[in-house]
Amino acid sequence: MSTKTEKPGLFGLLAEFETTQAVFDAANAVRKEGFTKVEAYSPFPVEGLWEAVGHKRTWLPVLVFIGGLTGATCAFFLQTLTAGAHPDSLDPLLDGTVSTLTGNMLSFNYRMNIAGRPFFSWPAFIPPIFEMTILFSAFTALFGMLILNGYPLPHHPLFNNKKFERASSDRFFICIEATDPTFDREATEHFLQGLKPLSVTEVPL
Amino acid sequence: MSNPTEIPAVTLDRIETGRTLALRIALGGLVGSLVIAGLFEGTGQFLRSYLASYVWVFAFGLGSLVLLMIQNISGGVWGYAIRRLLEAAAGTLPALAVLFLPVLLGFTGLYDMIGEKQLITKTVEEHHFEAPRLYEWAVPDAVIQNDPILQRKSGYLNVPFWIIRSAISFALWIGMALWLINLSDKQDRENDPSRRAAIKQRMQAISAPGILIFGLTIMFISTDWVMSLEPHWYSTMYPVIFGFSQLLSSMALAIIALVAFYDVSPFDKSMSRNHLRDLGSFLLGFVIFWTYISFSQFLLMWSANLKEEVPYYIARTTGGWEIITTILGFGHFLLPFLLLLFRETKRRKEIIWKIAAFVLVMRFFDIFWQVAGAFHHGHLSIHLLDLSTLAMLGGAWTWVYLGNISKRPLLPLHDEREDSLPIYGV
Repeated sequence: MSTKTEKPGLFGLLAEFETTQAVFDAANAVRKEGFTKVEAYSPFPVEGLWEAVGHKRTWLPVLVFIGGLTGATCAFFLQTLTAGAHPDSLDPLLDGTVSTLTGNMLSFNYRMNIAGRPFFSWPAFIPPIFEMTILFSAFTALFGMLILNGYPLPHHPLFNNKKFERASSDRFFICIEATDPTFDREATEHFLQGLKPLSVTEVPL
Repeated sequence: MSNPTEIPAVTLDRIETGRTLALRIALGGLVGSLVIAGLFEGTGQFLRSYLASYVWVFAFGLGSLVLLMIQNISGGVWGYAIRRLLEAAAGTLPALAVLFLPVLLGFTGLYDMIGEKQLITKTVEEHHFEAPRLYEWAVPDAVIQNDPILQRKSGYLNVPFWIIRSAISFALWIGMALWLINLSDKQDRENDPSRRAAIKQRMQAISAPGILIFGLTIMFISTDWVMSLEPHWYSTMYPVIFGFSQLLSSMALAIIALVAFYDVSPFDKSMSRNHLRDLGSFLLGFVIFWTYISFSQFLLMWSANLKEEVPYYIARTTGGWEIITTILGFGHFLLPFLLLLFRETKRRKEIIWKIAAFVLVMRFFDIFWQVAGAFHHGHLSIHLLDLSTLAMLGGAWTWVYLGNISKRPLLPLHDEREDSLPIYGV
């Protein structure tokens, strides 16, 4: 495609489909054609559509794992440093570092003798560790997802297209964005028409 | 495409190879067990080892039946992929009922040569030490009189009622399994879509109460078979651990079986890595839940520190048992958990089946910890019979299981989920 006839102010081309099977087949065709700046929209999650559009995997799982690990570590040390072992028992190993670091602020004053159990009662520490792992991973998942998706986003060009309103009720859409390197106003529209959509419309910026 | 009702020769070959191997292992285990038990040990140790191995093998039968019922109700492509494998495993329940019979020997008074009068002065432990049997509470009534707790429990923990409960449970499980398999056969042969839908509804109508029946029966069975090995101990969490572990074992086995036939017809055309990923995700969730319930039981008893409850854990964290306990913590939870977190380990057949097999090994460690731990308080004892009975029962069960697999097409013929396969096949 040598000549780019892309009009200024065009976000992309929106193809409308009636069934999951149709949008799924179309997504596969679009991916095979080599388009990369593509997004599919559906009123409910369609299994496999994400892969069919050709989305690459994100860093989110890694972030969530790190978040969970952070939560577990925080909870472990929170409990160990307040109610667990006494600094005197740790310092011989750590050469006085614990006392220097904590000073009087964390002086292990929350050690409680509960029915004669050891201060470092790790089985009792596990539920808070578990909860903090879940909390930190859930927050990382939520906020990480929002940030990676580019939120907060007050407005999206797709809402300029009237037809798109039905994406939240009963229609499936595939949008090839104008920033795609192989995007060509006529050729892409022709290609989309070949996928037998209900309609192909422009999405103005 | 060839006739879908026929199983391709490659698949049959593979099943035959597996069956021959399983039969050899079973016979080796049988001969080994008989020789060791007959010449050196007697029936006592044989039955103790047999029970542990039996509980491990039994999990595949009942757990698969429950997974089968769950997927009948929930739907989902994962269920379509392993439905036939689950049916084949659930179909082994009659064989498992036969294999259960030796456990009944655990009640026989082979050792009761002591007179009534002597019994009256003995405690249950003393008598059990002199005349060991599988179930301590099954000592003669004269001895029970000396133990107020067991005396109170004797309305439930007595031999006839125990046998009745097991018999009823087996009857219910076998009935449901055969019924579901029979309906599945009918569905395969039925060409009329509306009647196929009716069959599917029937399957769902059996499955929903079936899961409830599983929950109720497993409460009795877990108490009877394993928890009553230590009749003074009790845990309301134990039936959950016992019942749920069966789903874990069955899911691991289904993954191994699916991978074993992954590259032959009909799986080669219809399975994708995403099926394995789904099953792997189940395995991950099941491993986490096993950890959750097992650790909860421990934490509650450790916190309460009551003398009725805590001896169970003292007996299993001293005298060498702490090795097994530690292995369980790392091997049954941490290692599979970390490995299964990664998507690619679940999607690659050469990796996922190894994790599943490792989980099955850990399942035996867990059952051994529960069952053998009850007989050898505070000193770890691993007997050759533990391994030979495991080989015997594992081999025999696999032989029956593979036989069931070879009887019918490896994928159901008229499952409506078939249609969603292309969507899933990216």
